[in-house]
Amino acid sequence: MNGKIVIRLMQMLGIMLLLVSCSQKVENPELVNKYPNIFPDYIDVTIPADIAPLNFNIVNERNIADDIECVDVIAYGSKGGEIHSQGEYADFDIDEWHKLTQKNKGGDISFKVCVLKDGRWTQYKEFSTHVSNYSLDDYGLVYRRIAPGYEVGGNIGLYQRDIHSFDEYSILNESLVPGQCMNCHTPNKTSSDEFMFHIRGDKSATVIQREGKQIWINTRTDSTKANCSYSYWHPEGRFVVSSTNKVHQLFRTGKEQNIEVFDIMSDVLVIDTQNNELILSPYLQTDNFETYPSFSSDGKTIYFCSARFVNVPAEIEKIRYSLCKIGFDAEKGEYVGEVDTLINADSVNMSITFPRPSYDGKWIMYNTADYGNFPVNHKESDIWIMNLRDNTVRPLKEVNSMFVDSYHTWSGDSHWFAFTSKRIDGTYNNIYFACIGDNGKVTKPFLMPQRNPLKYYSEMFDSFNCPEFTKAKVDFDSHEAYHKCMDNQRIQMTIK
Amino acid sequence: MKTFFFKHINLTISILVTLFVALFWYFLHPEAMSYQEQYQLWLWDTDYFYDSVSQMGGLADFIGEFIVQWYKIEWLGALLLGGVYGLICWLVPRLARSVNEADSLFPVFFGGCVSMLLLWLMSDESILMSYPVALILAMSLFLVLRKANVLYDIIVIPVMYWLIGPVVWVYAIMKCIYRYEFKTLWLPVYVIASQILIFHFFMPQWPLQSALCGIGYYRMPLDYATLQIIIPIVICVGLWGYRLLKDHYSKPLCVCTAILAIVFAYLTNSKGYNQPIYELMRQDYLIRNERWNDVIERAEEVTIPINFWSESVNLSLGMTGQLADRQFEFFQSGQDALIMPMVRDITSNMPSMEAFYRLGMINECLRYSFDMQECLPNGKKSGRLSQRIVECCIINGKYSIAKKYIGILKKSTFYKEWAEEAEKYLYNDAMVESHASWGKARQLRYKVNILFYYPQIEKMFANLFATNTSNRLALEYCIAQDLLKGNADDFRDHLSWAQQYGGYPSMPRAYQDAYNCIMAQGNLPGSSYAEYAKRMYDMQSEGGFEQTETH
Repeated sequence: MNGKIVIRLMQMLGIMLLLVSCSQKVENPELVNKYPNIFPDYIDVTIPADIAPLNFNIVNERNIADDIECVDVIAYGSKGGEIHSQGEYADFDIDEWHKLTQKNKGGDISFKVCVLKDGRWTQYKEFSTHVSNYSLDDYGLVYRRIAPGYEVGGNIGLYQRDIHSFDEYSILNESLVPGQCMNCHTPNKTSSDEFMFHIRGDKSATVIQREGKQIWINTRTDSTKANCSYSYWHPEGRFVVSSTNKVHQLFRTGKEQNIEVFDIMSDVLVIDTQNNELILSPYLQTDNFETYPSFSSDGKTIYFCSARFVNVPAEIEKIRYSLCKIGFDAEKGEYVGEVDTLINADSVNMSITFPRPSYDGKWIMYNTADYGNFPVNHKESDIWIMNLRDNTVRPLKEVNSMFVDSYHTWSGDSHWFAFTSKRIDGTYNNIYFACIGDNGKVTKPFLMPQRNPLKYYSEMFDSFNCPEFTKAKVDFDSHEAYHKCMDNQRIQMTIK
Repeated sequence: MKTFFFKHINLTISILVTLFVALFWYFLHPEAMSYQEQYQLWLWDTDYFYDSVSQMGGLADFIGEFIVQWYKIEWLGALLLGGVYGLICWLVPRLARSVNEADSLFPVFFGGCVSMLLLWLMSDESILMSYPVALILAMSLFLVLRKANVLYDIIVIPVMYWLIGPVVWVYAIMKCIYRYEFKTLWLPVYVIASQILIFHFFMPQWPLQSALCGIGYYRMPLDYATLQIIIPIVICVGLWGYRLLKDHYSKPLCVCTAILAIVFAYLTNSKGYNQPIYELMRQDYLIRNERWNDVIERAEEVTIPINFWSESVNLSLGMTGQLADRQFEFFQSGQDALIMPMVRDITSNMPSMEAFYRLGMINECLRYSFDMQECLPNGKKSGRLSQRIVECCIINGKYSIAKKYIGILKKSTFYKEWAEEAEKYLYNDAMVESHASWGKARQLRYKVNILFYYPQIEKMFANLFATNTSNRLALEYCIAQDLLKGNADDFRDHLSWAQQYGGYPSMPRAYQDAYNCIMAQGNLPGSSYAEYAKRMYDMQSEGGFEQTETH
């Protein structure tokens, strides 16, 4: 983007200088029988071939850069191939890395790490990462970056990241539409050509882009009381199921959980993008709280979360959401049948939110927390999975942490998922990837690679929000969006 | 001899302007320097430089922020600031002599004129140092490249536009005057074309307005000061006129320009810096430096009838143990005279944030600090607020977040030492507890996890006081809020706390006055609380009670 070429040249110059400054032969290393302390933790993780290089830093036990002079890393594959990096941190060439991972698909890549500190080399126990047989063919991720604040989100923006390299691009930034907030980018499955997001502020709108054309709509009507928020596309692309939420937040005096976000009303409806209509159902427009809807992979079922009405915020700790479903007929644009409860919150004593069915129809991944509907503020928030063949559920212990784990999303082929976690520092959400096999076996997750991960993550003051895989690079005309945002002309939705 | 004279008078006037401006800021408006400095954080970091120059006008921003960071040492900051004006005052006559070599005093007076206009412009607290820096770079570039051929212009204009922003127009217009005498207009057309092409291809996240008028000159996005546009026009039109006039009318022109410079200097002080906003900045500056008595002394002389002012004075009274006696001697804005609800801007909540910190309401202080920082329109960090965030995180034991902010503070010039010292406290609870300020805050902060509810802020204070009955500030804020809200029952209840825990030798004057006023049902001549209550009652009748002005 802006002046990127100049910056790239300057960075290359910097890297060249770095290489000159740290180019030493590893001599008589002392062998130690332990793994090196590396950031991010890439030991024993499973990666897709062609992912961006797993660069890492040598750190101490508190993830602070260790005072080393040089790190020498040899990465070699169980099926052949070897690459080398030497410098301040392990920094692999992208093309060489891709060749190595491609060659070792289904095999392992081992890392031999030697560290020069106080003039002496130490060689650590080798560690491995596994290269999955499942490829991750999507171009990358789209996400929102936002300061993990209270009432002010800072310089919010929607970004896309090529996961095969380190390149990140802005889709829409607050600098273009000052004072407006941007909500989650929601693609149809992983489409780069059919997606939507919401703008909040005095220029409020729902933006739908399809085949390069932007449509700005107003989803607020007298009957629906609030704009649409959490949304999910019907696989055929005509309908979008969405919730309307009046969201409030309060702040706590305790030092652990600072923020409470809650709805004072919420309903679920379907947007017909062809006829510009909202399709309501008495089952989904009740005095209870209905939210977080999503379509099943075949489009015949709407999953959503529902909680009994309680007085908020006084009884906020009593709100627990159950996982429910209702049928939908896309031919007629009608709901089918009545609401069925899949998981009753009272019976599991947890609040269930954010159900995300896999695109292959096998799984539903969802969030659990002690109460409420905003898991990202609940330290205890975890990701669970339901097997749709037998409706059995289990927590994803392989990926859950002591901190918030949320915002899970499926890759196009549903063998990979990304999620966000606050496990690094308890406050900032970062993106992790993990693989799920046909048998439901889930691998150890790995942090989204960065060129210099320690520097990147320790100096990143934004949280990563609502990641979504995208099949190809999103092409969005931000200048057109600016004009459409400012002219305030919106297509008004009506009730069917 | 005459040339020698003209050469040296230029330098002399420039030095005088430097000294005048430096003294002006150092003695009259140190608060304005503090205000500017606290909303940025210049870093010794290559990524910071790359990030700056990857934005249109970024080099000017980078240099501007570099200069502003020195405001932390007031005399040096003032001198540097004076130097910027002095340099402009020196450059303008050089430009004038390049277009008209006549021995006239006009260039010198004209330089003074431009400097005074700039000083006037800088009284707008949202104007950033990038603007004068960009002006200096544009004028310097012209002096260096005025004889350069077309090829240079073709390269220099888009590059300089990217580095310093639309002020590159000054270069282009000066070139039109000097080289083409406006006989050809390809250069302005080329500037516009460059701006539009760069906007189209390299500025996808900015509106056209930003590309044409600049990004980093003004703090508020898509907003500009009129003088910001007028100054380059004045420079170019003035110098063009000077070239056309040759040596005619030199004396009357000089006299007029000198008078104009004096008029601008007068307007600068009377219209520019003599505004209520500077009083508020002064209070904030004094609070930042914990000069509580100075806040009160100033408040005894000047009243700015808004909540920011009341909060600052009340906090200073509280910190000097005078709140219980003197609260109603000073203007009270209403229910928000102690703590304001969250306002989405970079300044309004400063006194509330400072009050929260000293009360021991650490989460609230953290919230206000964080949100104010995130309100910075350029998305950058504030040294002052980052520092406070670190303190709150250390007090709360959130060491990994404190570490993150310490990491950037360590890259700054003036917060580095503090950050390195703070770093020693990370993951060491015993050390934190022995720290004078942080240890005390740990004692004072809430021990229960309840929801903060601004409409019942007096209950928040009461709860805080119940947590630690040695927290006299919380007690005084609790009773003060009762009085501000006119809650007579709560006031009476809490008076028993004051008697038991306040350690007052006799009932404080404000409480006594309020008590008597309540007993007399508001009919107590000479009572300052009765006056306040009457004013609030009147405002409520007019429907304005809830709408006290917010800065």
